[in-house]
Amino acid sequence: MSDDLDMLAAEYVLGTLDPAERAGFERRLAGSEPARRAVEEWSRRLGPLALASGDVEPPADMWNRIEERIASHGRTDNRVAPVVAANDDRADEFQRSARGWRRAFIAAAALAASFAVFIAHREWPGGNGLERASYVAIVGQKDGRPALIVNVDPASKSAFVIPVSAETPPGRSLELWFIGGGEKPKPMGLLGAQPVRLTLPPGARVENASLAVSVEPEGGSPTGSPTGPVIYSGQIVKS
Amino acid sequence: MRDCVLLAYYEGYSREELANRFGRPVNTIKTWLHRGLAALKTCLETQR
Repeated sequence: MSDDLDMLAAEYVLGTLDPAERAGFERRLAGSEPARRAVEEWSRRLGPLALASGDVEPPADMWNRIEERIASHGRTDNRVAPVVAANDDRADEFQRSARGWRRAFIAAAALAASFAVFIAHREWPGGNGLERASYVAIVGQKDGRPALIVNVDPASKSAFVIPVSAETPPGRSLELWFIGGGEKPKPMGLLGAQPVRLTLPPGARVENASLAVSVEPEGGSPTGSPTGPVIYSGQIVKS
Repeated sequence: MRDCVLLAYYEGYSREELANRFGRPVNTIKTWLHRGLAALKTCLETQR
C-alpha cells in the first residue's frame, strides 16, 4: 500500500480531510479495493480510541440545539462547504463540537456496533444558504460486527454503500433493502465487495427508516421482496 | 503530533483549526497528523 493512500485513508477515518479531498477519496473508494481495505484497517486502529474517553451521554436536546445553530449560521452564510473562516470563532466552536459529537458517535457505533449511528454532517449547498442533512447507517450483524457503512443522501436520493465485512455466500447474491417506517422492504440493489452508489426507492422517506441485507438467489430476489434470511440490518438515524 | 490526532478525533478539529490552535501553517499540521498516525500504526503493529 502506498504511503499516500494509507495517509488519505487515515485522515478520511480521522475526519480531517477537507470536503474536496473527502469527496475525491470517496470516488476513489468506489473503484479501489486497496483504498477500501485501508479505510477498514484505519477504522480498526482508531476505533479503540473511543474506549479511552468512556461513555458520554449527550443532553436530550443536543440535536435540536445543533440544528438550531446550524440553521442560524446557514441563514447568514452562503459558503459552499463546511469550512469555517479562520476568524469566526463562534462558528469554529460550534462546528468543531458538532464534528466532535459526530466522531464520538461514529466511534461508539464502530465498537458497540450493532445498529446504526448517525452523523451530524451538514453541507451548505452553493448559493441558497440552506443546510442539507445527510445520514449514515451502520448495517451490521446481530453480534455487533458492522458489515456496511451507508451514507444516505436524501437530497440526491442516493446512498453510498461501503462494504466493511459483508460476505456473500457462494452462488448467492446480497441484496440491500430500504425499509420505511411501517412499510414493506423495497429493493435498492445488489451488493458486491466494492463500494457502490445506489438510488433510494421512489418516495423513500429516511425518517425512521432502516436498511437490511438479505441473502438472495444469484442476481437478486425474483419476487421484489426478500426471499432469503436477513443477515445484516441497521437503522438510519436523523442528524 | 499526538495532541493533533487526539484533538481531531475527540474534538473534531479540522486541519485549519489545529493550525490556528498551534499557530503553525496548515501544511505543518498535515505533516504532524501524518507522523502521529504513522506512529500510532507502528505502535499498534509492534504490539501484535
